[in-house]
Amino acid sequence: MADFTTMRLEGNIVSTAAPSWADLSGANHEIRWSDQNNQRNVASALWPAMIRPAATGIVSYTYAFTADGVGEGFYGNAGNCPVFSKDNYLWSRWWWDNVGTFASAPIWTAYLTNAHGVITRGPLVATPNMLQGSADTLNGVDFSYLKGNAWGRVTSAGAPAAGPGAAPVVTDGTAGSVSPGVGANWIAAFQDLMGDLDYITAPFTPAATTQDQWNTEFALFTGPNMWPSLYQVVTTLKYTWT
Amino acid sequence: MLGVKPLPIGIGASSRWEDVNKDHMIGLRLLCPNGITGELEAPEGHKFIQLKAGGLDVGIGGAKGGHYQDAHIIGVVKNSNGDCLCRAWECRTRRLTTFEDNIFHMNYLHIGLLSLEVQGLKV
Repeated sequence: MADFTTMRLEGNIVSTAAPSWADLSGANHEIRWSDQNNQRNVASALWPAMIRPAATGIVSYTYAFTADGVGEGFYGNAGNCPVFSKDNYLWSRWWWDNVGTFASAPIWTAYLTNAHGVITRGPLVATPNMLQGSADTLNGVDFSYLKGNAWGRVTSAGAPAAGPGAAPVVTDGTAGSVSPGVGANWIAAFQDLMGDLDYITAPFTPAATTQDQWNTEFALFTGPNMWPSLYQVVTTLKYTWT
Repeated sequence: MLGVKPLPIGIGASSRWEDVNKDHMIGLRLLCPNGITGELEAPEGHKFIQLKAGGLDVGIGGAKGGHYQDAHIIGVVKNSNGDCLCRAWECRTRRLTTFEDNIFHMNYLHIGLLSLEVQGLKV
């Protein structure tokens, strides 16, 4: 019966020097993206639409909301949200308490809904969505527009002191599972997060009944072939417990 | 609780699987919410696995997040290659399934390598 009482995804809303972690996992907590940098504390009903761009690119501004009208930019420090940078290396982390015991290495991915249905990989879909990919993300096969990177050890063993070597690009991805090398390592290239098709597996099973964290970064791309829509997806830590 | 004997497994001291003495454990039952029981047998101790699989969803753009559980799994390791016979209660479909897998790269729900230490396995 040793599940975790508290497990959450946290986003850093201040800085690397003095991180402040917003809980993204509570009721009505969520991650949002925008191409505008001044959307802190903006209610969802007033959230601005983003025009589909003519060229692929990263969606620059990531926000951590803890209530409908209460949210800050990642690394925003209570001001305008800065552009995503891989060098903001205390970007986000999975956090768990000392109640549960992992039975295997946790897995990080994203699904279209919390039903965790099968995702059909592009490019032969008529209306390519955020996680299916399209001609924009084509690199042999299509990859998700959502990219992640993860640290090769739990934070108590040593937090990152620098960001990944390479910034994410729209065609990043590897079919199946990718893991960072065990230790002080990021994954060399960002991995796309596409349900049970493409995901990141931790290179460790965290210690039993020990509170800890797993540092991560993530970025969202868009492009001229992403189907216009209101995207409401989930990013998921899959785990087992005893 | 007067008159109620503690379960022999764990001697009632702990409900944690990793704390349970598995030296002479040769049978394991999964009692399902619908009354069905999945049962496995082993010739000796330290051959069983027990775990739950689930996760934590974080909402993006208004999607509903939260914790969930997919399955409660028991299994018995059959050989040194890690092959195992498993039974799982699948929470969404509310059914008991039986499948063959391997503790070193578990395909079921893409779980992957199980922690032998946590499971108390001797393979």
